[in-house]
Amino acid sequence: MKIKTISRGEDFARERSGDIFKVQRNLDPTLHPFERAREYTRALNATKLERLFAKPFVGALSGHIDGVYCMSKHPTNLSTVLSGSADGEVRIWSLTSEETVWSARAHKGFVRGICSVPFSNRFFTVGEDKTVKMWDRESTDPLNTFVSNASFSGIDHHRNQNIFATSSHQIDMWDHSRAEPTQSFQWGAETITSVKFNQTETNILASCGTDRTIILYDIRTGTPISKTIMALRTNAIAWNPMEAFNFTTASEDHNCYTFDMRKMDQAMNVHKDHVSAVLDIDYSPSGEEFATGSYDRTIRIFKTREGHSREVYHTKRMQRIFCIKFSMDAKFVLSGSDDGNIRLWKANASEKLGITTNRERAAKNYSQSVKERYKHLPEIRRIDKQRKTPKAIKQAGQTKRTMLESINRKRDNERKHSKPGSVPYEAERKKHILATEK
Amino acid sequence: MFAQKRGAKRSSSGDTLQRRPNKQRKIAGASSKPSARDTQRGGPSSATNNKGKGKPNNKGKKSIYDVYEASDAEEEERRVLARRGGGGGSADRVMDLIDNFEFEGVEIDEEDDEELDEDEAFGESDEEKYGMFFDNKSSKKSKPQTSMELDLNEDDDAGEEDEEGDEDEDMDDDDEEYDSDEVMDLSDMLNDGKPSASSSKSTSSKSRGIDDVLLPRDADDDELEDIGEGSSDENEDDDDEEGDEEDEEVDLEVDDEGAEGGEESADLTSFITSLDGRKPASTAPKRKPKKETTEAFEESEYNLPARNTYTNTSTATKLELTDLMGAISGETSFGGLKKQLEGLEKAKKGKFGTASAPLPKRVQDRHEREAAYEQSKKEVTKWARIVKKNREAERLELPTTTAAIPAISSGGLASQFKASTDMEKEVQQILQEASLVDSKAREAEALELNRIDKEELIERRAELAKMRSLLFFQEKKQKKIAKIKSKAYRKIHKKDKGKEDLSLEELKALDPELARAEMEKLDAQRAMERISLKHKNTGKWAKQMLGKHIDTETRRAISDQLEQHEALKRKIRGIESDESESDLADEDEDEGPDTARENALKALGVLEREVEVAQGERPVKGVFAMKFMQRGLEAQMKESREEVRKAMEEMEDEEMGGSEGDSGNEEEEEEDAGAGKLVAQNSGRMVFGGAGGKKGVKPTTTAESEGSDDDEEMDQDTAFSARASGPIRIGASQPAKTVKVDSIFPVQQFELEEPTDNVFIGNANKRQLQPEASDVKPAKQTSKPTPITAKATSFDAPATEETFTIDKRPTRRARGQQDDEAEADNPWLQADDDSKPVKKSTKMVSDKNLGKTERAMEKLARERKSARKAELEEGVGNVQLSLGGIKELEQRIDDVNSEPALPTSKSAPKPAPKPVLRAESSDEDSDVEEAATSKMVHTTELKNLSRRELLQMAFANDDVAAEFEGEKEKAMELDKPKEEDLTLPGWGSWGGTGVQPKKRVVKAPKPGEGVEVEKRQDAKLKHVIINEKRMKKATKYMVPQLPHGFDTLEQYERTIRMPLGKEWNATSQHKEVVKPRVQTKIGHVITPLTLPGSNSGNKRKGAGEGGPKKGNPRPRKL
Repeated sequence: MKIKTISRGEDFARERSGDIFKVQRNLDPTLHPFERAREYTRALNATKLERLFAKPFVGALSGHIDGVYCMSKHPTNLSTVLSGSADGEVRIWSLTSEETVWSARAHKGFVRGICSVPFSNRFFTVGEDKTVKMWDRESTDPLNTFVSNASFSGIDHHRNQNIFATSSHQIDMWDHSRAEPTQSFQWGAETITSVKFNQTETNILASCGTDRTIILYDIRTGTPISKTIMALRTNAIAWNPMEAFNFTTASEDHNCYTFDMRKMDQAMNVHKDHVSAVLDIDYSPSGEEFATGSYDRTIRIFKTREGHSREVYHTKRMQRIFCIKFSMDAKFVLSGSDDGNIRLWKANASEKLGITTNRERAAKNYSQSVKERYKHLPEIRRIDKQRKTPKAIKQAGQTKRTMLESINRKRDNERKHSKPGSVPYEAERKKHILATEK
Repeated sequence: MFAQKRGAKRSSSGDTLQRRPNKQRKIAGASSKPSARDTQRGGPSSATNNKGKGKPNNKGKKSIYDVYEASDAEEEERRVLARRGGGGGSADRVMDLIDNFEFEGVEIDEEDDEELDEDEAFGESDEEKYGMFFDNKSSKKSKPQTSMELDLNEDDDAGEEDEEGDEDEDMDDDDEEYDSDEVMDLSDMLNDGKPSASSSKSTSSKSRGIDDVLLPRDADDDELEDIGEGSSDENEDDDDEEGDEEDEEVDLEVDDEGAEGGEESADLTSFITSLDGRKPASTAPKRKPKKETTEAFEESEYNLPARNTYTNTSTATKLELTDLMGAISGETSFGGLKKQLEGLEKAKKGKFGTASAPLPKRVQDRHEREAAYEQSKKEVTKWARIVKKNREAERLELPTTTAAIPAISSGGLASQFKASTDMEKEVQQILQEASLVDSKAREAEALELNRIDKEELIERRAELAKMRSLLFFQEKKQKKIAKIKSKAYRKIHKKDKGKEDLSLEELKALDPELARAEMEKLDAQRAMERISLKHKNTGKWAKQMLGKHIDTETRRAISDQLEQHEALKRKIRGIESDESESDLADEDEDEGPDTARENALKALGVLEREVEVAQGERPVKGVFAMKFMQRGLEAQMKESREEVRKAMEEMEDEEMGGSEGDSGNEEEEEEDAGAGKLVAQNSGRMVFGGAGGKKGVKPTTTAESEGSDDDEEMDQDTAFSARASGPIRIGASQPAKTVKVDSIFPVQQFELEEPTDNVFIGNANKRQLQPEASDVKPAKQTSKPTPITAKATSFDAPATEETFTIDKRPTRRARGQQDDEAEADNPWLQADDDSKPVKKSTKMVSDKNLGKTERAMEKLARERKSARKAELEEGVGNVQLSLGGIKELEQRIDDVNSEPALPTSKSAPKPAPKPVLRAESSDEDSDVEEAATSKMVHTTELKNLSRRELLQMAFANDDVAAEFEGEKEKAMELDKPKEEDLTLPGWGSWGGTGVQPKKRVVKAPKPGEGVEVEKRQDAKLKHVIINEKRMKKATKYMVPQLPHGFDTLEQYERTIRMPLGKEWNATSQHKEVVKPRVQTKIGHVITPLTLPGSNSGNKRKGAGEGGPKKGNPRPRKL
C-alpha cells in the first residue's frame, strides 16, 4: 500500500528569516468558486474580530487635583499635551511616558483656556482672574502677563503668526510683544465662551457665545463677518483642518452641526447620538472624523460626512468630559474630564499598536476592505453597529427617542388636521438655526 | 452702557427713537417678538408693557421709573453734577451713576431680564424719594393712560438744543396721538409743570418736516429691518415685516397726515386730544408756582438748558441758536462767524441743501460686515478645488511625502566638520596644509541645487534614473544574450540580422561595388555548401542520429540543417533568377550535364513559391473565404509543400548518390540517368493526386521553363508527373476522340479558358500568366472547336482525357445549377462547394466531343433540380431520403460509360462524383470508385436537403416546447395561492336524522402568500420560468434595502461585483484594491492643508502642488 505523505521540497527551508518563500497561486476561476460567499464570510469574521479586539483605552494621565477644563495639543510636537484645571494649575504631559513634565499654579481660579505656540516651547493660558499669561517650559514663572478688565473664557493661537485671540465679552487679538490687544471685535454684548482660529484659512476666527450665536470674524478686514443664532447654545467649535471653509459646532442640544462658513443659513450635516450637551469637539488632523466629549460622560467619534457616530467610548469612572483633543497623527484621542484625569484612547478601537509586519498589514487591509464592501448586509451591519453603553445612556437615548417620536407624531397629526401647507415640514438641517444676521 | 445708548439714539432717526424705550431689554429670546408687536400697536395696555420693559435695565440698582425718561437728560445731569460737585442731586443718584458704570459691558442674566410692571418698578419707597418730581402721580394713577403717554415720550431730550433734540422730540407716527402730551415734557414735570408753549408744538412739527427730508421713510424702514433681535446695544426691534404691517395698519391715517405737514398734524392732534376729553397740558398747569423764589428759576440740573433765558421762565422752549448768537449781531467783529450764521439761516429756509447726515453707525457697520463677509467667502472659496480633489481622491496618504531632501556628499559633510579633540585638530591642520579641505564644498552643492527649481530637479533626476535603468537593463540583456549557447537561437538571430540589411538589389542600386562583393560572398558560401555538404544528412552526427531512434528534437535539428542547406542554395537562385530567365536558360545550356537536375530543382523551387503565393492570396469572398474551407486549403497547401520538398530532397539525394560515386563526368552521367530514372520511377508516386486540381496546374507552369526533351519522355510513359507536365499530350492510346495538340498550345491557353472556374489555382496563376494568355487569345478562338485536353486534375488523369472533354455550354448550365443548389442552403454541405470548380472543369469540352455520359449527367441534373423544386414546394414536412434519383443516376452513368469508356481505364465513369468526395478520397486506389459511389449517394442526398429539413430530421422526436409549457404550467400551479382544507375526516360528520352536515373548514390563503398566475414575473415571458419562491439561504447575502448613496440596485451590485481577494486578483491588483482610502502613519504629524504657493501655510512648509501638505518635512516621532 502506498502512503502519501505531505512532504516539502528541498528548498523549503529558508536560509534566513528575511527570505521570501514564494507561494504559487493558480488564478483559474474554476479553482476558486463562490467568491462572493467566501468574501462575505471573511467580512463577517473580520467584523467579529474587530469587535473582539476593540480595546480603545490606552492610559490615564492623572495628577490634576481638580477637573480638567482645558487642554491643548502641541501643533508640531506629538508627545506634548498641555492641560489646565479648575484649581488654576497647568500641567504639561509627556505622552510617551504618561507623566507630568512641567506644572505650575498659573491662575487664581479656573484656567479657562490654554494654547501652545507652533514650533516653540511657549504657550499661553487665560483664566478667570482676568489675566493672560505667556509661559515657557523652561521656567515656572510666566514670561509675561497681560491684564484685562474682563475674565477670559478661551484662547487660541494663530497658525503661523505671533498672534493669539482671547474671548471674554469680546474677542481680543493680541500680539506676543504687546501688552494691549491689537484688535477687538464685538457684535452684541454677551459673553463669548470659545474662540477658534481657522487652521487653513488662517485669518478667520469663529466664536460662540452665551446668546446662542456663532460669530465669524476676519482679522484682515477687522470686522465680524457673520452671525448665526442657533436654537440652543453652542459650546465649542472646531474647524476642519482639511476643508478650509467647514467647521463643526458642539451644541447644547446634544447635537453637532457642521457648517459651511459661506452658507450659514443651513447646516451641512447634523451629527446626532449624544444624549446630553456636547461640551467639546476636536477634528482629526486628517479631516475625516472628529471626536466629541459630552456631559453624558461619553466620547464619540463621528465621521465628518456621516450623521451618526462610529464609535463611543466610556469608562465607569470617567465623569463629564469638558475637553477633548485628537492627536496630531490622527491615531489617538485625549479626553479631560471632571474627575481630574486625562485619558488617552485609540482612535480606532481595535487597531494594533506597535510594529506590524507586511503580511499583517496586508491582511488587515484586506479584511477592512472586505468589511467595508459588505457593511450593508444585515448581519455584518448589526455586529458592526453594536456597542455596549452604560445603562443610563441607553435609557436616556431611549427616552429621547420616545420624546422625539411623540413630538413628530403630534406635528404630523397637526399637519393632518390643518389646512395643507399651514404646518410646513422643517428641514432638520435648518430647524435648529433661528436666524443669520448681517 | 448709557454712552452707547446715547450714541445710538443720536444717530438714529426719530422713528426708531420713539420706539427704543419699549424695546430696550427685549434681547433674550425669541419670545420677544410678540411683545414687540404689542408695543407697536400702541394700545394702552401695550404701552404699559413698554414702560415695564424699559425698566428692568436698572432693576436692582434703583427702581428707576425715570432712568429711561431721563435717559438722555441723564448725561446732562451728570455733567451738571460734575460741575457742581454733587449739588442738587442726591447721594443716591451719584451712586446710581457708579452702579451703572459698573454694569458696563456685562450682560444681564435672563432672570434679571423680566418684564416689570410699572407699579412694581416704582414702589412706595421710590415715591417717597422722588415724589417731588411726580406730583401728578396721583392724577396719573387715576389716569393711567396719561402716565403711559408720558412714558412714551420720556426720551425726549429736555436739554437737547440741537436738531437731534428736535428729532427726538418729534413724534413717531405711532405716537402722534399723544402729541398733546408731548408738551408734558420731562422738564415740565421736573420744573413747575408749566404749560409748554404752543410754539414748541409747531417747532416740533416743523422739525418733523425736516426730519422727513433728511431721513426718508424708506431708509428708516430698511434700517429697522436690519436690526437684529439679538443685538443688545441696540433696541430690540419690532420691525420684522409683520410688525411693520401692523404698524402701518394702525397708523394709516397718521401717516398721511405726517406727510401733509406740521400744522395740519398739530391741528389733528389737538382735535384728537380734545376728543379724549383731556385738556392740553399747556392749558392746564398742574402745579402752582412757588410763592417764593430766591432764584430766577428753580435750582435743578434739569432746568438749566430748558430755561428760557429771556423770559426767565422755565418752559419747554429749546435753546435756539439765535439765543446764543444774538449777542454778536451788534458787534462789529465776528464777520466770518456772522457769514456762517447767515448761511445756516439760509439753509434752514431751504435755499441751500444741507449735507445729508452720515448713516447711523449701525448701518455703516452692517454694510462693512456684509462686504467683509463677501470678501472672506471669496477668499475661502479658493480652497474649494483642493478640498474637492481630496474628497474625491481614491487614495490619500497623510502626511503626504515630500520630495526627498537632496543628499549631501561626503565632501559636503566633511566641510561641516569641526575639529574638537586635539587629534582631530591636528588632522585638520595637516589637511589644511595639504590644501585637502574643501570648506566650500557644501555651499557649492547648495548653490548648484539652488539654481534650478525643485520640479526641474525632480524631473531631471527622474530622467537620469530612467536612462540609467535603461542602460542597466540593456547591459543585462546583452550579457544574457552573450551567454546563450543555443545554435538555433544564433541561427535565427543571424537571420534577423540579415533581414535588417538591404536586399541585394537595393544594394546594387545604391552601391554596385558592395553588391558585387556581397554576391561574391554569397557565391562563396554556396560553393562552400556544395563542397562541404555541411548541412546534408551526411555528417557524422546526422548519420548517427538517423541510425538511432529519432526524437522530435533531433528531427527538428536535422530538418533545420536541411533547411539551411536549401536556403543557402535558394539565395543564389534568388539572385540569378531575378536577372532573367533566358540567362538562366543560357546558363543551363552552358552548364551542361548539371542542368537537368538543376532545372528540376529550380522547377520545384518555383512550384514551392507558387504554393506560397497561392496561400498568400486567399479569397476574401464566397465559399472559399469560409473558415473551414480555408483550413482545408491550408492543409492542402501544406501537403503540397511537403510534396514539393520531398521531391526536392529526393532529387538531391539522387545527386548525392551521384556525388558519392565519382568525380566529374561520371557523376554527370549518373545524374542524368538518375533524372531520367526519377521521372520514370516516380511516374506513379509523383502524381499529386491528393492535392487535386490545384496541384495539377503547378507542373504545367513549370513546363514553360522545361526543355522539350522532357516531353518526349513523357510521351513514352504516358505518365503524368510533376516534372513532365508541360503542354499535355494525348497519348497514342486515345486517338479516336482527341485531336493531338502540339506544343503550340501552351498550358496557359488552357488555363485561360477556365480561370474563373478553376478557383484553386486560378488565383495563384492568373496574374503570372495573363499577359501571355492575351497573346494566345486569337489562337484559342480559332481552336475553339478543337478539343482541349484537360489538365490533370487527379491522379488518374492520363487515362481520362475523353471524360474531361466537356462543352462550354453545359458549363454555363452547370453553373446555373450550382446557383440553384446554393439556394438550398445546407449548412453541412458547404464543404462540397469546393468540388464545384472541378466539376465544372470536367465539363469543359467542345460541342462535338459531348459524350453520352455528359448528356446523361446533364439530363439527370435537370431532373434532380426539378425534383428538388417539387420537394420544396411540397414543404418541409415530409422529408424522406429519396435515393431513387441518385440510384437512377448511377445506373445511367454506368450505362453511358459502358459504351465509350470501354477502351479507357475504369476510373473513367466517375467524373462528377469524384470531386464531391475529394476531401475524403486521398486514397489513390483505383477501387475508390466503389466506395465513392456508395458515399456519393449519401452526400448528394444530404445536399438536397434544406437546413430546415435537416434540423427537423435531427430533432425528429423532441417536443421540447410542449414539455416546457407543461413545466411552466406546473410551476404556476404550485405557486398559486391555495386554500387549505382543514376538515378532519370523520369529525363533525355525525350521522342521524336531523343532523346537518357541517361546512367544510377551509383556510383561506393569507395575503401575500403565493403568487397569482397573472402577477408572476414570467407571466408575459413565453420562454422563461422564474422561480417566485424566496430563497431563505440567500437572504443573508442580500441587502434589505438599497444602501444610502446608490440610485439603483445595479449601481450597488456593480460596486460589489469584482472580488477583492488574492484568489481572484493578481497580487499587485489585490494590493492596490485593498488599500485604505486615507492612510496615516502613527507618530507622524499631519499638518493642516496649505495652499500651494502661498505663505499662509506652515513656516516650514514644503513646496509643491495642491493637496494636503505636510508642512513639517521631518515629523517628529512620539
